[in-house]
Amino acid sequence: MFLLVLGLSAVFASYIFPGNPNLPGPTITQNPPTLQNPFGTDQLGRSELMLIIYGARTSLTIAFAAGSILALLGTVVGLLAGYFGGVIDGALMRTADVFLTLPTLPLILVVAALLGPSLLNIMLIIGVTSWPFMARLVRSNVLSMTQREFIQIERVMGASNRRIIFRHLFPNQFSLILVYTSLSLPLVILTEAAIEFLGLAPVSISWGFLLNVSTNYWIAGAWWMSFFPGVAIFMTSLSFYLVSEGLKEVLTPTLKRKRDSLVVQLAERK
Amino acid sequence: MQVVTHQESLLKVSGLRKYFPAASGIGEYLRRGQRRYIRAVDGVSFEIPAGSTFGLVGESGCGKTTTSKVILGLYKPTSGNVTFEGNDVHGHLPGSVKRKIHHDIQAVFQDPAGSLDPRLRVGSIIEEPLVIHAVGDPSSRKTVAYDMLEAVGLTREHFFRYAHELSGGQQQRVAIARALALHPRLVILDEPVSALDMSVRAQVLNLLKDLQAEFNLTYLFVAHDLSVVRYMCDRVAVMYLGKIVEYSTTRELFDNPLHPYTKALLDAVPIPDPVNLRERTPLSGSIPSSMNIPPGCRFRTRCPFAMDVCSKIEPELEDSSASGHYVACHLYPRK
Amino acid sequence: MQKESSAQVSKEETVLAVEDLSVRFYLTAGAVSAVNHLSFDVKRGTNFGIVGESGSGKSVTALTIMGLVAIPPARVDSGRILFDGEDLLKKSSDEMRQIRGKRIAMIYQDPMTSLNPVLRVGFQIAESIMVHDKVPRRQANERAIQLMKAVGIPEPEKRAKAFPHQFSGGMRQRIMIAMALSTDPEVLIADEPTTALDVITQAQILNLLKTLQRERNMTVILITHDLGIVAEFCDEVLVMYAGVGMEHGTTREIFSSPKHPYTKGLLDSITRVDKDIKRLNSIPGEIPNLMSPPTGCRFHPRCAYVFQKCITDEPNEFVMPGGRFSKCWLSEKGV
Repeated sequence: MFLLVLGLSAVFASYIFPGNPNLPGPTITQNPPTLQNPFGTDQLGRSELMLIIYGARTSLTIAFAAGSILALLGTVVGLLAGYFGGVIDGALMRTADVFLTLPTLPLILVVAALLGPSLLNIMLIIGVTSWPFMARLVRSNVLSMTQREFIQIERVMGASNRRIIFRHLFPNQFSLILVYTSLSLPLVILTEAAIEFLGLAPVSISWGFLLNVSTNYWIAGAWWMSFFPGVAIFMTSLSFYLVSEGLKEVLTPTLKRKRDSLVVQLAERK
Repeated sequence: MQVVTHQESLLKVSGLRKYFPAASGIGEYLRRGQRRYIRAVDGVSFEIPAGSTFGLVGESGCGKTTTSKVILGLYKPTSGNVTFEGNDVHGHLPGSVKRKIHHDIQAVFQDPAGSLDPRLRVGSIIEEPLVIHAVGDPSSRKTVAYDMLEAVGLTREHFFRYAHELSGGQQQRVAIARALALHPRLVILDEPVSALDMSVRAQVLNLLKDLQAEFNLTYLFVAHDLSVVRYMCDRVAVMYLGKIVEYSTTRELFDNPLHPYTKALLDAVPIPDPVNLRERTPLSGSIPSSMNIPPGCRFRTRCPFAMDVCSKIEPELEDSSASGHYVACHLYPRK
Repeated sequence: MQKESSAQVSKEETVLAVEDLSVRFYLTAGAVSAVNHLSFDVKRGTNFGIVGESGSGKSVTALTIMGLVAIPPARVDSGRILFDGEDLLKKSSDEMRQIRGKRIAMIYQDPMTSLNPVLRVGFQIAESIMVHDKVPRRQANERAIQLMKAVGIPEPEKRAKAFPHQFSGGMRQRIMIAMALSTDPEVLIADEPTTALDVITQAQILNLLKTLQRERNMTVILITHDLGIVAEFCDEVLVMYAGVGMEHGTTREIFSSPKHPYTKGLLDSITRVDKDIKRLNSIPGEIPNLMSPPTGCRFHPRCAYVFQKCITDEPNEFVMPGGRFSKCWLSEKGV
């Protein structure tokens, strides 16, 4: 639910608050929350609420972009490695291992230092360093599926490899992919917030950066400047996690049914 | 439609061998010179005339399932070949011939639920082979699926169900419908009723018999249950540790079993007739591992009639009486 | 629903009596009526067979006797299980632990999952002895080796140090039997003990059980779906279907003159090794869903002799001379 609100407001932010958010606001600086500015204002007099909402844009964009890269790479590699096995499997998995060793934050630091900060780079790097986990999951699932009789019969009937992968193996991975992707999003959000906090992102209106800025004003007692961005990060992560749990419940109703039938089956044991 | 009997064989297996390397890994690598193999199929030959039902019987590990998988093209033979309608199934064939083989040989496996894609509806499952072979258009395919559903004793409304909504017997019927959708020539049935309840077994066996007549099919029936083989098959081959030890018509095999292993098997099957109880002494010991097959006759370690020659020379499958009853045993020297 | 019976006519004493047992599983999707008003007596020293397909309730019955049914989600809705005059269902879990494994033992279908793979087999058998009989380790080990010898494991001293995976399926089942017998139980419940074994090993194990039973004057309750095993092995038979005890009698009576349509149908529909069958008579329909079982007699949707009363009223157990019964309205008329 929260996500929905967040997402929508991020998309429509420009309509809610017309005008360039970068310009200083009209009122005095650093106000605590008031009715007019529910989240207070920052050092330049801009509404915190507005900043949070604009910041959501950044976070969500990165989250979905990185998430998509992660899902795409992970799924493709997992499918190919699991289905073809042998040399292809070995090669792909070793590649995955290599990527596994790349540490996300330091890599971003390095790239930022060399190529200058860029949103695109951040998205790419986060995606590229997290896909191996997904690939492993998909691969093991595919491996067990390939042994199932219905895949063997597809081969007997003369189905091409492409058909087997796209029409039979892939759809059976769907729930796994969705659940795992939404599960990894919280980490993506946090990573992205950390980057912004360190000032490596080119965008200045983002939650992490707000946090960064807020550190200068703690002593001044402007608690609202760090509180709300922090809450935003927390809530978003939590929401993604809850969504993944919800998806899991919905997409594997078979689990409950299976558990029930297993109880009876264990009792019957044909 | 009558079953047409030809003299020509639809399927011919000759000298088939399939070895699997025993567990890969450092241990095996170090063995190098004495690489161990699981000799799952170790020299199997037989022919199936069109229109008949051929039974391949044996206990688990005898190689019958591996043989059927090689015939289906799921494994490549280590040596020997499989010929279908005159073509080597594993040879270099033009694409159209390969497609025809995929069209004409179908399979039904043991696990009813595992044979069906859990994401697809029954209708799509049955239409699948038609789609793969680009037969007809969506509406004609639907008609075929409906026809097949009725042919296997299900109703048109089953078209829209998912696999997990059906019982085991119904799932197996769907698997059969799918196998027959293309009107193949040969159907390989690997333990098709073993996972089904007794009261459903007879239904499915009768169905298979009826369909064979209706669609003019040839069956290769792989099973461990001799009573089912007796009911379904015209000819039977008994396998032990990768080789055929006896091979003849069903009637001959059951009335007059020759090979000691066949006799032991028949002796061990419990018969639901308490009046004529026999005092049975089952064979001792257990099946040797297919990695360490005893030299000479591979059955001699358990054979009550083992002779000296049995540990030295492996017996060949030979016609014991020129009547088509083949047996591989030194007790029956070639006439 | 009452049991119409005269006083118990038995020269032998009854060691175990199940009276009007009903067990239901309360699941999220609904309540499954797994056992419904089941009654039977087992006489000491006999071999009592319970035959049924999946969903018949045979395994649940065995587990309930052993007190191993998980409550919740299961619940015993009614009935008593009398062992040596005492109601097992009323016992506390401590008291049941005294009885279970010690006076009533059980062996299962799959020995691999019942044996701890990381412990040596000798140790596992000895452990069972130590737990129940409180003897010192040395003595327990010696008894374990004796038991392994008694169940036919060659070189027991050496093999006691081996792990379960180093044994074949038949051997593992023997180990299970050794464990079960370690406390010299009065009753041994064997739940499909040979289903996972090949037919020759099955014959060996069944022979072993027969011998052990004779030697120890043990009562055996054998649960199976195989009518052949029942015919060759059991003295009395209880036929179960969909949680209901449909028919009971001596093996001879049941096989030569079955009274219940289900029993008749089953016997007509099984394949035989010993005779040629032209066409099997299959029982139409499917095993019912136990969450909403058929009204009246649970077999009525599939019964060839069904009439109005079968649909509305659950039949009583009609007892015939000798203690056999048939739960069928046909028997009311003395058919």
